[in-house]
Amino acid sequence: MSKVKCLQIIFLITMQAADLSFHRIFLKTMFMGLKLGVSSRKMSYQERKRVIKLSANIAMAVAGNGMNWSRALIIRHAKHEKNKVLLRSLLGRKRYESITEPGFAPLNFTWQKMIMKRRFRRTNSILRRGAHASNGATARVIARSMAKKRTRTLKSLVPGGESLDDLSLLGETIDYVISLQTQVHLMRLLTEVLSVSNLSPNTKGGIS
Amino acid sequence: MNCGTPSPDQLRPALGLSSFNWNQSMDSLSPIFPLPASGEISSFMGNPLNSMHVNRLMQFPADPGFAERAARYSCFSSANYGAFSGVSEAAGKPSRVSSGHCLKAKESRMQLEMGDGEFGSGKEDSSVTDPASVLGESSAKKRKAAAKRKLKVTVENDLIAKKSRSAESTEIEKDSGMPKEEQNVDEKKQGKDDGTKASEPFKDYIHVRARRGQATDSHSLAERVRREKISQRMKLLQDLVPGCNKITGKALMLDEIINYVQALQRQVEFLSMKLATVNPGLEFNLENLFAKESLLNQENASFSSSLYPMENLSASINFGHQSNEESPIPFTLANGIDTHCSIGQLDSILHQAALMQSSLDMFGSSASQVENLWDDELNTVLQSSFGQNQEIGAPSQSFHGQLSIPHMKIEL
Repeated sequence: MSKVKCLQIIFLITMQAADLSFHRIFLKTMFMGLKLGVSSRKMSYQERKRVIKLSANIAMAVAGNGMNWSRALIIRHAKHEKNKVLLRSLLGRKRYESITEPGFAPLNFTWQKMIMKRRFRRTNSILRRGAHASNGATARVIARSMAKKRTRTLKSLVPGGESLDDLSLLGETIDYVISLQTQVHLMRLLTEVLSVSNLSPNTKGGIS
Repeated sequence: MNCGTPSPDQLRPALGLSSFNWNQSMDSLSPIFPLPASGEISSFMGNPLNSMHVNRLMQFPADPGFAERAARYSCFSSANYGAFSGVSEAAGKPSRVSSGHCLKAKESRMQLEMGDGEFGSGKEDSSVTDPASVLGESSAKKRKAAAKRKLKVTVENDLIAKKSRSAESTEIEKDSGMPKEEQNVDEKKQGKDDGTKASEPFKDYIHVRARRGQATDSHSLAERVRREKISQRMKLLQDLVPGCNKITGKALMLDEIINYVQALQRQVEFLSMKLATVNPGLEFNLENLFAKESLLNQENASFSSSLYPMENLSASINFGHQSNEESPIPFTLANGIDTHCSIGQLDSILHQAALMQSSLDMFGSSASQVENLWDDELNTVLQSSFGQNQEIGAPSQSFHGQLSIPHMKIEL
């Protein structure tokens, strides 16, 4: 078994050397969440899936600390009553309180303002299109509206993106995409590991 | 991945975003950045990686700046393919292979993410503080070099940023440079009309020059700065989203990004569904969890500093045990109890768990089982890393055989 141990150690060293602190934080939070959230009593598949998804998202948000989307994601989950207990225990009370307190500037976006902006934008573009109906300008206006429309959908996709301007929205999406990729990768590893320990006959109390 | 350290004055202007973190990261980076280049590791993982590097290099367009960037971040991009494989087969790479071995890729990816976190969270993105080098350079090559420098720096930066929060201290001193930049740029803009393409030597503020034949009023210049920044970020996104090399135009690119994000979110949903089915009881094997985490933690010096005494550990952990699983380890984390567990506590708890685990291993029948389990799981994880997903059960037996490291390389 010494060779196997060598391999294990090498594997761990590479993990260490690569300094996957994001991974470490993610895995820890995820395991913690799963442990706390899933009990043997709950047989419902839907409920289990919900808890797993919640754990994964919170883990990603915790690991991606310092980003706007991270906080927005936690807040989004904290709104549901069912998640509050789990969130509080995962994050620790202090952190939970500090995150969920209202009043953070970009997130304090008022819906009124947005509605006004939208109305203003729409009337403006309609006026412009009607007034100067030259080909070049129309093409540009159409292109701009296409980009604007897509920006809006991107804002709805990225958590906390509604109150961001274009530039920081792009920065947030970069970060969000990377952490989503990592989340998918880690979850895939996790499913494989767990499914294998299911298969192996030697698992002591593995999947019981 | 060998990221050199550009000098701070190159660095500063090259970073179109909040550049404060990156200088300090550059300085502190070089001793710390761990390149997994030790003999065993490279032999273990290096060969597939190197070949992957070469493969990735072949793929990229023959633009010199881009190729260089590709060389640095080949792992990075290959990992993208892997992650995305579940959604589109058009990635063209054996998804398993790519998604796997690039722990370094994850690192770089994560680092990139964290570096982006640094600049993203800085809200002082004044539209004027764009690096002169990016603005002054009109050639695509130079722009790519700047972006590459930025990427490189973000990679290095993240490593530091996550490891130590000393980023904050240096943020402040760089921040003082920022308001100055704004004023200087305004003055500078009024002072020029001939507009050359060259950028002035920058001291600690960014000069923005009007280009030849373009308007020199401050509004258009600021807009140009903003547009350049946006295009930089779009380029970064182009690298992230697979299959977007040929797409030009903001709207189409945004389309791809949106599709990709939706695909990733769907993948998360699907994987959580899979996790829910894979593990019907979801009695998480504590040995499994803690063994991995503990071995991880043992290597890491930073965690050892936060050791709690054993009494504290048992006190904090000895909650009621709702799920009646028989685990050789006499403690579990109870469900639904408000444990005030922050991650730091969790670290120390897991570390302690590791110690207890290892001490328990020495006696008790669980030892061999843990080892077997660990082997299986290690095997699985390695296999998934190296892109082999067929018949996980079968190779586990061969694993228990006499598998040497070079042999393992060949097998995988």
